[in-house]
Amino acid sequence: MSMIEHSPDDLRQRVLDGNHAVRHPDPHQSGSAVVSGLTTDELLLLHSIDWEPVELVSGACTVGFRIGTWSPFAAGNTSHPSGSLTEALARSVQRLERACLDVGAFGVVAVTTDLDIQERYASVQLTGTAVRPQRPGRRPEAAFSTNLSTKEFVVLQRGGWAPRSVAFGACFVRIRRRSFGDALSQMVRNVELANFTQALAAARADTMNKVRERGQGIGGGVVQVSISDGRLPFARHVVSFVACGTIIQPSPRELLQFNARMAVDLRDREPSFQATSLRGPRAHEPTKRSGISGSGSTWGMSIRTRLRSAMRPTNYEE
Amino acid sequence: MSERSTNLDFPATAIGRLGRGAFSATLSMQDFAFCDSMGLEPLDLVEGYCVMTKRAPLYSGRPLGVPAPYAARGTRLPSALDTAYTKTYRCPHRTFGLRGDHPAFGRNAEQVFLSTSWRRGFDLAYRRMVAQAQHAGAHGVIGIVDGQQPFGDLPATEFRIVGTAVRITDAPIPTGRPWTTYLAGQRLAKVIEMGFMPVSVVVQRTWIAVWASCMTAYLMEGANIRRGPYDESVLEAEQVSDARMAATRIATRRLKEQLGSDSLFGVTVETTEEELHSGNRLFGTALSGTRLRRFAKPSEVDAPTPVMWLR
Repeated sequence: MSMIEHSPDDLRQRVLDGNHAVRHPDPHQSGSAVVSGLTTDELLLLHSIDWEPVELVSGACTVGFRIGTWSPFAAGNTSHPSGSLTEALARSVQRLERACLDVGAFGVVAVTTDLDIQERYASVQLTGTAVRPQRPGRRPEAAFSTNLSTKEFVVLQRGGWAPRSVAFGACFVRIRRRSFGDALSQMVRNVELANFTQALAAARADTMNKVRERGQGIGGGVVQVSISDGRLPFARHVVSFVACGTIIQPSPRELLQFNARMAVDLRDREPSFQATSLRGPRAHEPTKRSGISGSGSTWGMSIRTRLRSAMRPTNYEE
Repeated sequence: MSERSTNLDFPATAIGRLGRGAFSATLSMQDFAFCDSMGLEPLDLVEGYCVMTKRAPLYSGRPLGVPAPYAARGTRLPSALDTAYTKTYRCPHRTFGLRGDHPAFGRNAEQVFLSTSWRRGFDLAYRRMVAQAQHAGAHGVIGIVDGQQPFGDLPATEFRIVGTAVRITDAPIPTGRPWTTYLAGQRLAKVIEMGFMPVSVVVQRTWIAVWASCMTAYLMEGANIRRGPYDESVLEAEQVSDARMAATRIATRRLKEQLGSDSLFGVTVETTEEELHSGNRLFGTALSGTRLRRFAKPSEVDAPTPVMWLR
């Protein structure tokens, strides 16, 4: 854990120095202004790997849908709106990366997505902070973009990987109406609504395929994929799926590994005494553990589970 | 902040309260504790208000890409309109000789009047707050919270800005305007630890109006049909995409002009969209944050090491 430590007196002196600097600005101070969406914590993290923020950049695209796209009586094909939205997301990423190169940066981190799907059109706006190394070498031909936070970007860099681009996939699925016979037969029985299951499964698969194809096109893997889905408020029979992730590749220059340091947490996570057992002889008995504490990736979870099973004390009640 | 001079009087009750007796502050307990450890002594809660009419003088404009030359301008001083952003989009159907309601061109134009009038309202509220802090003998104002809301049934907007005036223990008596910041407590301490000092809050709002060309209107009104030249797989409303990006780009540029050689981290971005009529739209971007001045070299920080907790 990185820490900056100052005594309270140092901090007070810093406040006085800062106040003096504001009252009496240095006429020789030069440099260009930096507008960044990163917090001071993120700035420190970025500086720790010798990178710096440059400017706030954005990319946007708005596409129109055809007449009758959401009609409940139309055929089930939703390839046009799905293709339009996927293309809008891809163009936004391209524009974001181009804006990044225009300001002399190498890539964009902490990209946020503002997606607005309306009955007649869909709008996408991506915003992030352009960053570059503090000692930049040759200017890259293509900028990278990532929806990873600065912390995650730093960990990725330290691990010898580099983000390439944000990958998106989008799909709309129209839930077909059941036939009269199906509706009648399902009225009094608890059965699977197969048409719904199939439609949603196909749409999810299609969305993920688009993300995978994008990753395959660039030649990398996709991490931190998330799929958001929901019914469209203006067309309740249509469900939208949007998947987003970051394509990563091994960094050509830095062949590092994720050397995670092991740490044992010695803080008590269970109460030392249970109120119900204070009168009896079981007062100092450890309490039963339940589940895996904390959250994390599947990787982290499996590691923890394995370690726990190896280190499990015998007196625990399981 | 602009130097436009206006009535900065504040209520008599406020004069009686400021810098006398017990202090008042908007700070939370944690923020208060941090400020105390930094030697910042809270003086009073300071505030500024302004109610302004909100009439949107949308400017359709002529091409304004370059400043008007002196000969064209006459004796008129150069105005912000001369350098405002504008872009024209031609109708792709000119060869068909369409007449009537068919719009021959569309235009995106920066709404300078809207930005100016918004800034005037915010400025007045800000300057009133700063005047109160100055009256209380403050070195700075921390933990600022600002906001705007419609004022009753009137076509007006109320600007509000509230903060806590502070004095630095052992510092000389302040002479000029106090510094101001949205930060307080731990965040402020961290910024100062890093060798930055807040100078002032900076806010920039930019609006881009879209007068839709025929194709933009078709697409934004859902009139896109499958036949003829419209049967493409993806049809983009280029004019709208451009407006969204231009609003953020111009707001960032104007904000940088306010910063000089200082920096702004943790900028807050807010985008708005207002539908006018017939595919016409108004896009806005608001950026706000604290202008920071470097006064010391940053402390060295080691790169973080990934840690796997064994639990």
